[in-house]
Amino acid sequence: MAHPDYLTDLASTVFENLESQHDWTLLESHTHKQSSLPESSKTLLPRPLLTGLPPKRLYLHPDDQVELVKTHATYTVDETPEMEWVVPMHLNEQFTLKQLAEVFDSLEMPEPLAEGRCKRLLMAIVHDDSTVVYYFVHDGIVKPRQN
Amino acid sequence: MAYDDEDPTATPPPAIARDDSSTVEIEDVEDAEADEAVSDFRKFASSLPGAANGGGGGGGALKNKKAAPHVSGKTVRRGEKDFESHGTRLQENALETSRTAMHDVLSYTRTRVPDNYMTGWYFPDHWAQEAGEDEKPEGLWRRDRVVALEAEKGQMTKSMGRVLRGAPKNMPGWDKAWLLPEEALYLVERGDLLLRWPRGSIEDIFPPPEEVDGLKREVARGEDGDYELGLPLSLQAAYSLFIGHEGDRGKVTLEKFQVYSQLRRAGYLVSRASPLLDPPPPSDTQTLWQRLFSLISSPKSDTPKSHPAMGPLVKPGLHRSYESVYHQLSLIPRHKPTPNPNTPAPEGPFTVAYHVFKSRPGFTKTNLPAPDFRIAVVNARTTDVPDLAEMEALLDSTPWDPPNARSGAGGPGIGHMYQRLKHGWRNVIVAVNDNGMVSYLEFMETAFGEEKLFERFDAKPRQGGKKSSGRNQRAGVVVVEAAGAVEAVGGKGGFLHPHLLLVHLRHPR
Amino acid sequence: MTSSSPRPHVRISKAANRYLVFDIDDVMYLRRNHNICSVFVGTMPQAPQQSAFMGLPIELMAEEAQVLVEKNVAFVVDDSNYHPARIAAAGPQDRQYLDAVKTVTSDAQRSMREQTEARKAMYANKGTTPAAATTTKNSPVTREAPEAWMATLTTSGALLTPSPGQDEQLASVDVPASYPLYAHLQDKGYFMMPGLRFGCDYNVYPGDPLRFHSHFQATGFQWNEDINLLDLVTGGRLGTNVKKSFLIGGRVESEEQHKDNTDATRDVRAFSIEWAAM
Repeated sequence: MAHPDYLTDLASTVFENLESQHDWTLLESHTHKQSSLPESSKTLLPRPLLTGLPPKRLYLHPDDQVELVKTHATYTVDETPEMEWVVPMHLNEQFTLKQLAEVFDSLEMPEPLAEGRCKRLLMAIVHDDSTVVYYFVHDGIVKPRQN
Repeated sequence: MAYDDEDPTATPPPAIARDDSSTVEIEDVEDAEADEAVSDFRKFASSLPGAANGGGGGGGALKNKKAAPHVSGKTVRRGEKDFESHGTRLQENALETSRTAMHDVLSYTRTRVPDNYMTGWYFPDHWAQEAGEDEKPEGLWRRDRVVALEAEKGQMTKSMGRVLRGAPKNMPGWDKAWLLPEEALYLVERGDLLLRWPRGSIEDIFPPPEEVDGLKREVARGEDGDYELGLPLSLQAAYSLFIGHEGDRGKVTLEKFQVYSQLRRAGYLVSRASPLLDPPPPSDTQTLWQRLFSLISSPKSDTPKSHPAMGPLVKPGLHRSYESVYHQLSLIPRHKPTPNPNTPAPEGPFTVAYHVFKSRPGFTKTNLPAPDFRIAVVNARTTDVPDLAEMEALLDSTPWDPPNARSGAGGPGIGHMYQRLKHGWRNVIVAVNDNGMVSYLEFMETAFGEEKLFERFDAKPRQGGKKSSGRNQRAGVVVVEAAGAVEAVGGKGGFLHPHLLLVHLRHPR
Repeated sequence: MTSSSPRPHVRISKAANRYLVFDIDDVMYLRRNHNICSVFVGTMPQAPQQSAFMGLPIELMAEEAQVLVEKNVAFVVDDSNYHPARIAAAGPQDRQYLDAVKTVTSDAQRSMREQTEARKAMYANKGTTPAAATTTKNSPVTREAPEAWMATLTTSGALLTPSPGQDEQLASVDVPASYPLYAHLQDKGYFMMPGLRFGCDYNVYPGDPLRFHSHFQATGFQWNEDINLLDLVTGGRLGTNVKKSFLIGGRVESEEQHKDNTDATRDVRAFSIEWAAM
């Protein structure tokens, strides 16, 4: 079992974009759910996914923003980057809530989520001219960041 | 720098001469509510006269016409809002104060001193019976007129209510001004109209001339005095009587009423759209502007040429003018507005509902001027974005209004191009109503094909100007490569993308 | 307001598929207790030449009417039919209604008289009279019959009391397909407003919009409905510009998932979308 070629190609486009344009490191492609099973019997992910480490932290929950403001005299963003899940998609694609839910349900988080927090992923949307735009998608009702 | 005369910034931006200040006002109303910034009732409450007396209820009589406050929404500053609840008492108190102020302001009951209001009687079927089905097409909406005014008073009736001439003089109420449902409801909301439900027939309220001694009225009076003639109705009752579905006789849809009242509050005069108010389309198919245009443009340039299937798009060789090149390049048929389109009349929601007039001295409802705006009203919940056919039908139902000096969109020439494009050949406003929130969108029939930018490339160089030295000295164009000139790019529109290399040659003098 | 004594149900007036509430006490009750504020759609009689501050009635979204009916705190009456019928059916309720009208007019009369007296007294003290004189001359103040005054009550009150054995005609509510997402957010305490201005179904506030900025533009979808990625981009991008998240969600259509939840409002899954700024 494997993904169709266009999904694999899409993933490599985004891989290169993250690596070359956005200086991500530790990039990895994922096609199957992580498990100790032999390669042949692993479950195929709904879509190919990527993981990687951005050069600096991409997302800070608004509650953490507030916490930072409270604890530090001056507002300094925590620069420690976090690993992000990335789902490559093409602008001409359509998706359903069900498919989005399946992608989230296939994500394994390295450590358990903090209380009141939910999974997030970075949706990489590729256009024909190879422009890539990135949107965070949260698996739940997450208030916007304050700027 | 070969192409910098194509840079639109090279041309000084034309001064916008079109008088669209009123459109801007409409947008201001919207902007005022656009953000989620809900008005600060505390400040509003304190800005109302009589606020010192505690506002509501009985104090209302003081707010009669003379004391009527002229509060502009803009004069009341909005309060600051927060991102989320902090659970602090300060925040709770601020919210509680706002809510209390809102409660107080909205507990007001409409009252007026004697003679400072109008009385209207609800006779929903009067004109339906009298006029029958074959109403004369006079644009007066006879059958929808359901409220008879005892007497016309005040500024409001300058644009509202009509006495329906031609009714037989023995018909009760023949000499009264009759209101449309939206007019009646708006006047009730303002507190200008006491709406009454007659307990008897129309002869009891408006006795025929021979009984005008008023005998019947005296007879009708009993313990409740004048009230026995008919109940004074509430705002709630007025809504139940006047709000209906599209096409209900004697009613108005809520989305239309909300647009009507918002425009009236903003100071516009509004009448139901009547085809009779539109000027007839020009009989001469060529307007002055078109004739002028035809003098300076080559007549052949509008018809696309046929090309060999494999190209070239432009014949290689020496071209003495840009026009001959661009003429060969014109592959896509362009829209050309016409004053007499044969488009079927619009149906459904995308139909002009109201004619809107800027307030002006000398305005009379019996002799309406040409409207300043035409507005269609749609319900956001039940209406999709219009398709091209619906939009074409809607636009073509409005009068021919090409951009020219007369319509305030400037004259010919490149300097006025953006004005012309913005003005369009016809225009209409669509009010989109989502549960009481209204957005106004203006649609124009526009024709980019009428703006032939290349003509100015062939224009004679200006004399003497320092800037023109050199780059405006045109000599010719050589097409060096044009093979495989047209490539269809995927997508719905079949968008054509000509790849063509033009070499701009400069001949030193 | 939080007392457990049963409050009368909120009466929702249905007119041509739109849902209106006229009673200010009901409006404030919904605002305080059911996180429903809705849109004020009436001209404010105290300041009729502006639209920034609007008055009664409020127009409920169909979703709001439905939630309130499901919570058993409101009922919906087809007022296009019921209300005119009650007016036409002259009966004992007329007297009660007219008494309310008379109370309002005589209150207004008295208040006017007091005001005039007070002004007279003030000017008498100051030794100037012109303004007071004009006022008394121009307003035929005191001795008319109360019915010469005009009073338009906001609600029809007693007129709508059903006579014994006659039920108010309960009307159904037609909710749009996005209702599950609405009900879900409502249940979580959010305040929703119509979403037209932000190109969505609902503009979602974390508290009373009098006090708080909204957090989300929300649009409901069916579980298996195709969503164009371009719509997600435009929604997410617009949200960023107005400091909101774009929220999409709908009712889960699956036998296995959320099996333990029978409450429809909880059987909803939602996703928040924000521009990643990269």
